[in-house]
Amino acid sequence: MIRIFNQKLSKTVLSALIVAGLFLPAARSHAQESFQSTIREIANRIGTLLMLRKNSELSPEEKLRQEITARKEAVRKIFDLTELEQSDLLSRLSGLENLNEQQEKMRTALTELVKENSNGLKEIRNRLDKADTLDDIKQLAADFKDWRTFVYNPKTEKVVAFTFVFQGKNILSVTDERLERVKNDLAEYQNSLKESDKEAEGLLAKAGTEIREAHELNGQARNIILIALNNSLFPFKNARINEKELARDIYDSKSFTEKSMQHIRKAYSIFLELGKITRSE
Amino acid sequence: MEQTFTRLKNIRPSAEFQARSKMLILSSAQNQPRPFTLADLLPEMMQSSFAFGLSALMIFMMVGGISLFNRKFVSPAVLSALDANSLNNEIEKMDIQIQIAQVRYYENSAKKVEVALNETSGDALGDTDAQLRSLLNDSNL
Repeated sequence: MIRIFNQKLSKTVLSALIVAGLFLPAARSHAQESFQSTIREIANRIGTLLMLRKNSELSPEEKLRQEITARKEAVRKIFDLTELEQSDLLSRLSGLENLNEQQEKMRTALTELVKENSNGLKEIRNRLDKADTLDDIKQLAADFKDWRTFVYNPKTEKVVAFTFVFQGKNILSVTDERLERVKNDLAEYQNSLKESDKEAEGLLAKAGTEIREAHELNGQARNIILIALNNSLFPFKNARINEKELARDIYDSKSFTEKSMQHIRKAYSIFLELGKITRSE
Repeated sequence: MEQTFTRLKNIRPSAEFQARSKMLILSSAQNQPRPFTLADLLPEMMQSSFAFGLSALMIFMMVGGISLFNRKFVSPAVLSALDANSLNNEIEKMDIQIQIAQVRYYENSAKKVEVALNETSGDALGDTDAQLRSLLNDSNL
């Protein structure tokens, strides 16, 4: 009875994982599309604003009215985009798995930081609803820009670098499993491989090297971002945070993670090549 | 009826038929048993070897055939770790490109939003035109 239940449970869990595996990338690409369409809408509003500036046919009153509307809509779209990004950042953080105690502590601290943005966003929304004059809108846009520059963007950069490095690590564990399976399959098939024996072995070694390099780069990226974030999120008493150094570390970490992922892609193209060889034997 | 049976029971071949039949039987060739020689064994051996060889050949062909069949049809399934569909699915699920694109998105969007807010706040800088064109023409991040 228990065995049947376990089998059913395993099937349910497996189905859930497959469904999640299929839909998670779709959800991410959907978020990406929402970002892009909102950016396009912002660009359209700015385009309208530029055209109005050059328009000499409208009366000064009508021009002012349309200008206020265009500026207000542009700020509202930027606000919508910021909210979309905010929820994406939180979902990136909550989606991380297999974190150790210290990393979990960082995730919690970063989540709190992102959630704090809600206060600033709430204030901007209130002001946006009330802004009726050109000066109100201009001032709101200037304050919104400052808030994004000094509050929102630095937090976003930290979260993106932190989640990116762990997404890279998760991808690497899938790649490691795949490499093991390929090795086992090739070992079983070894006797049937003749002329291409050496070629297959060479390709397998090459894939192994790519994956090793991917691990090394991901490890470097992880070390850099964890040390940098640890110093930034939990500084020693009176220790000053060097913002320039932090920005450089974030940049380096993202760059190493990206390179690591490129090596993983290369490893998979080698696997595909290996598949072709074994099939043509 | 009984008389008929009694009459049939008493039927006998004629003496002439008996003599002729006896002569025919006695004049036919007689097979004499003789000792077993190598010459007798050789065809037997030849027959066994042929059967043995034929069996060996058939076994060889079967094994070779299975191996060939395996290479042509079974090997892709056996090497499931190298199955192209499964590999491509895995690459898609890992969505490396999406991950990278999203990281680049955040880098680019911050710059574009800053340009848009500069324009909206009315304090556009002198060199904003180029950045604005970039925002208006390249809104794909």
